[in-house]
Amino acid sequence: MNNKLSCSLRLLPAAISASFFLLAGASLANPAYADTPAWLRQAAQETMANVPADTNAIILFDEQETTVLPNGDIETIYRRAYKILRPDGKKYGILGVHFDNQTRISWLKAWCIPKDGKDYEVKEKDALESGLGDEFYSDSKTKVLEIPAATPGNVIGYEYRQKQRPFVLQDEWWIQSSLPVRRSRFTLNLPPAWEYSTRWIQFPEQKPTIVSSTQTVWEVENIPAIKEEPAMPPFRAVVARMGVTYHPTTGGTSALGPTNWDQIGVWYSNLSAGSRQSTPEIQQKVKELTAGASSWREKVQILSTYVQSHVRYVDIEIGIGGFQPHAAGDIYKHQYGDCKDKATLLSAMLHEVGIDSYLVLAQVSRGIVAPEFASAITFDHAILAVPVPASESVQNLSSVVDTKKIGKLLFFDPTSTYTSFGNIPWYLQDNYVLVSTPQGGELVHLPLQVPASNKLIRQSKLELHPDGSLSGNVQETWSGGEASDKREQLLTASGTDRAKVLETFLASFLHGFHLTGASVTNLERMDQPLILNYQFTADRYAKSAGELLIVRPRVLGEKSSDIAEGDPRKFPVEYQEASLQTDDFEITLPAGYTVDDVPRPTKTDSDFASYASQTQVTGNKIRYTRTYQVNQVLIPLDKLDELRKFNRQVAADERSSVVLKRGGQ
Amino acid sequence: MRIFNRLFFPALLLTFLASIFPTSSPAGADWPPIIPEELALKDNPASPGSLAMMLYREEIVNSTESFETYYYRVKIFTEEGKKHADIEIPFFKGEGSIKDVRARTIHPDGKVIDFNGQVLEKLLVKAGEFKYLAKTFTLPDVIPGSIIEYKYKIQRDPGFLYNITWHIQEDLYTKRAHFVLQPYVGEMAPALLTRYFRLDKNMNPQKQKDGSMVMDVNDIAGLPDEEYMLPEDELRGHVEFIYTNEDHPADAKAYWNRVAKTRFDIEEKFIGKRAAIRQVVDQTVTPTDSSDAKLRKLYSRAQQIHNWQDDQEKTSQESNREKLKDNSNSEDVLKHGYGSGKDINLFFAALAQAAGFESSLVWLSPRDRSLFHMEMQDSKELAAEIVWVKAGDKEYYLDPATSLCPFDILPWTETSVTSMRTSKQGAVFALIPTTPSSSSTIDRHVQLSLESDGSLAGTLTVRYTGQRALARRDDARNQDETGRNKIITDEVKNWLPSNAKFDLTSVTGWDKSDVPLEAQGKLNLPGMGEIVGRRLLLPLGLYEAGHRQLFDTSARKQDVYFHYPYEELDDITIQLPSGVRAETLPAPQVVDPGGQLHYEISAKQENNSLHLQRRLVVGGIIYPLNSYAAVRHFFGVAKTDDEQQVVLQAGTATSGRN
Repeated sequence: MNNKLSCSLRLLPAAISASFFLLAGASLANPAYADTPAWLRQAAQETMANVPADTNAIILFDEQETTVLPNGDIETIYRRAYKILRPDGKKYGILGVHFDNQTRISWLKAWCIPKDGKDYEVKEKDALESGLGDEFYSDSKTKVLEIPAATPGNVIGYEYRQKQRPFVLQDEWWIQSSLPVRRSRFTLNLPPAWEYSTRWIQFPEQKPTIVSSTQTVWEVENIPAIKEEPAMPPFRAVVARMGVTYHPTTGGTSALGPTNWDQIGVWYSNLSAGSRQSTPEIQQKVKELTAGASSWREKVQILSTYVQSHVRYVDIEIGIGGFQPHAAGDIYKHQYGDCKDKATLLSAMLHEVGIDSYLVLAQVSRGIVAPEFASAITFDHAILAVPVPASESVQNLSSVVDTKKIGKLLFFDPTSTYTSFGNIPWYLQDNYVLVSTPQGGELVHLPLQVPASNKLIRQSKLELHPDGSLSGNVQETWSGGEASDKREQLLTASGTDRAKVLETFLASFLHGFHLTGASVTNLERMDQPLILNYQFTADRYAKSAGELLIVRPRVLGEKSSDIAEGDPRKFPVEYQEASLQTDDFEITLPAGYTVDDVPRPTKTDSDFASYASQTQVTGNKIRYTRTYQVNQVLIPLDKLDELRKFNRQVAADERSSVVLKRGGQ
Repeated sequence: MRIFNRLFFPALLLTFLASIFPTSSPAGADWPPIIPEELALKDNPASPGSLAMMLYREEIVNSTESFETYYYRVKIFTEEGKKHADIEIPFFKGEGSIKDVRARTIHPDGKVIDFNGQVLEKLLVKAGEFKYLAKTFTLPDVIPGSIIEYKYKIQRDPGFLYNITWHIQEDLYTKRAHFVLQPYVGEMAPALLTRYFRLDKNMNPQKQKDGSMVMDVNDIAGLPDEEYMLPEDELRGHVEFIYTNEDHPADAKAYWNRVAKTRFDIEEKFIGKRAAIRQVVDQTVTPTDSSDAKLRKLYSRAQQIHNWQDDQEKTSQESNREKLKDNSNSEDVLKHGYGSGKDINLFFAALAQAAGFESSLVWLSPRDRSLFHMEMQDSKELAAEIVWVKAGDKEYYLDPATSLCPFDILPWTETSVTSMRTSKQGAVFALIPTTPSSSSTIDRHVQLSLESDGSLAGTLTVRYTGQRALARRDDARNQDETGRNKIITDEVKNWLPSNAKFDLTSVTGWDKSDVPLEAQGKLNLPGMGEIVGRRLLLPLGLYEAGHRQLFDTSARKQDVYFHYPYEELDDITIQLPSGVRAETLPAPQVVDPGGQLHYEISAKQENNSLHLQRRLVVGGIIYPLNSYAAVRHFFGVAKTDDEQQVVLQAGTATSGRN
């Protein structure tokens, strides 16, 4: 397991694109004598019942054997066998094995046992190496090996050995996969006078087999696949796994790596402390930026916003640099860095105005940090926490949390470019972070912000013409997380592409339309609501049917979702954030038409969301108003029926029409 | 002197190179002076709202001295534009070394921040001795308004000559660019062939007194990414310089005649006059068959040959074990029962000739990749082949090598392209006809019953013909039944509202080229009809109701390009509940704006049922940019008409007024 704070998820080996490597000429393997190991031959005899028809392959056997050496070095052997069931299972014949400056591969082989004919074998020398990843630069590489004949009916397998000197003495054994697993085994070999502890996550605790005083084995069987579902929590949050921590029974355990939240906090605080040293240039800049600021809040806001918007995010990872920030002076001088660099520079700048702060380890996906399994390897992001003086008001600061040990802290993510000061990005809400201080670490649950902190208010005055066309003006006011997303859309679009952002939105609801004008206010003022104003005309918006004109009063916006439709789900639905959204469409009717039918009001409430709409007729105007509020972001399985019903009601309301009649009363 | 042709490398990597390897000036030289007006620039006047723009780039290649220098100057306008300060220069190990990398940032106030950081070398891919790497670095202290500039030198191995490409059009708008090529002038110098792609008429490399080629260009827009556009290689303006030992006469026809004759001789040798082929013809056709019938039978026989190029990619170990033998002639193809696509087409040509028809190969450039540029004299462009057969006055263009391709159509990539037929006399050029829209249809027949709650239930039959069927058969070629069913089910579900149910009951025609691909299933559409008071409203276009229209944005920079003409046909019958009748039906609509676009939709009540019919025709392939507004309008109107509603009077009224 290799984790670095890069603000992006590392590709798992299975995620490596087969097509790329095939294109790049991966088929370098020469004919070789196949020396298929006994474990693979034995695994090939296994069968698995009740496998769904669309399963591409099954994992017959998966084994991880970890041997810890007295100096803390670790040697791990990985073995896996697949039975390919369907043509799409061919992708499992592309094996990717990670290595870097601290993790090296000492042995790698793979085999295929075909239905007919002799076995195939490929070796490390047949592998490609790739450094392609999401990072701008990383020393992390992958050996990619293509296993021959990964076709239906054949069994393929591989074995490799890695040696590493980890910075924490922990590991995770994933017993579940996107494929069914027939048998999975984890073997732990510890030196004498070492001990271990385990935490089972998403799976009941299993008793190990004690093979000897230094060897312990866990084994599970018939583990179902995790089939991807839309809007499900991240894979790592739902996968059944065992976390294991090991350390000497005597002496200070932290010498070889931190093993509880307190130790991890201290470890990271120490690791980053040296990087937070200020320089004359930083001092000068802080002085310049805070010249007119007198209050704590002003200073924190000015410096936070500066680092957020001026220091460019660039992800460069080398060795433990994956966790260790660069020096604040270098970050300031170059004006770029990754998440931990940005947090470090901000910390150094705050220190210059006498404000303490703590680096905070975070995870950009919810549900992955398990409080019961203290582990640095679950984090992939870093932010900053600033203690709030008792005298300070925290009004309008949604990101202030009263922690048990440290007290009130204001959290800020300088990497999240479009999140305003006083807020935290959606992915950190309802999620755990670890505040690292020299005295210890504190795992803090960052709460979900209230719906009203993320608002979209749409107001529109429109006119319906006798030919059915519709024209008018719309004003949208976006705030909080809703504004962050919209800002990103607009600010990353160039020139005329900004109009395309609006047109693409309108095209979901209108056809034959023309965007006749648009303006945007506060686009780059993160601390202010984002206001969009636009005008359009839409031909034949109302559908003519004899004497009737049929009008959909919900002109724009879609709150319904099909997320709970389709096949039964096995996992909850996860929304991004709580929010409050309102629409108000006032439509002036053409002369000579009267309202013949209007839809009934809709009102539906549940724990996770509420929705209410109504259409009113006043004189020659119809007015459609609605309020939609999302209260919870994780909808559990037992609430999915309710969610489905909720969404169907919303969808029905969104489709509903007003019938106008020419003349008549 | 060896000529190093970069086409040797995989296309994906080439694309990557093309996007990164554009600019620069002599590395190590002083920086060009900063122009105050450019430093003060707040936006790109030619493309307002730009994130960044290329102010200047320079590419100097000296083939004699085996070096290249590149220089870029980029203006950053916004925070988001700062991403252009992260530089990655990919290169192949062994193809030269990148050196003298220098870079700096200039703030709007003129403050200069030199790059003195580390240039990191990043491994992209390594396979054996083959290494694809990148030099990476990021410029310091970049703020909106900054100018960034960087330059580097590539020193090549003097033992090789590299073909050169001037990338005139990049993703960023380019204000000025300067290109220089000092061609190789040493001993045994090969000829230098110049090819131009999508250049304005005023863009011509100028030969200088010293023999170098120089070109300056100004104001080159960035290449947009738009839906339905031509292949990128066709759109991106560039100049290629090819070192070649091949003779390229002034008259392109002479070049192609030579190519065609050479290929013809090889092909005829493969076809030969062989008794075994004659025997197959005798077993396959009868003397009383019409010419057309004979050709169809021979085509079908040729399609029985396994095209090993259709197989999933194999590793070298698998290929070695398979021990496929090369086919040296048409009889080998018959004997082995397998062949490459070209083998199969030559086998068919052999059958046709043996049956008394004139037949030869026709070469073309498949238009999913690029088009054929005859004047460029590049024989590699004509990389795909089909078969020409003449039967009396009728000419056939056929491609039996494409599995499951019906006799009367060609894959779309091989239609509407200029082709070269080989002959003893030389090249015969012809435009391969386009498949008419009526040959590539999706034809949906639906029988539904309307329930009182507005839901619909019944059966759907969908038939795919021509290119539509071929594309799906191609997708399904290496799939099992589960995978094939998923292809159809996913597509049908994509037409329908998300709460709709579709259960596929049968599919026929996967493995036959001469019948439509036909799928049937049960359909359930909850809440399709909307109850409003005493009325029930039903949209005419059942499948299209929730989908966005094509071409939803008003601005466009490229021609619209469809792969092939096609038609959508819908025939829907809805049985009404007892006591329900149509209060009003939308008037039939016909939209016929020209340009081979056509749309019609109608609804009528027949006894106790509604009968809806819809037809949408896209008859053209390329719609020029100046017709974009009309094309967009057409699809907008069609979408609007799809959403017309049938107003039904429900049996019992429930008033919800106000």
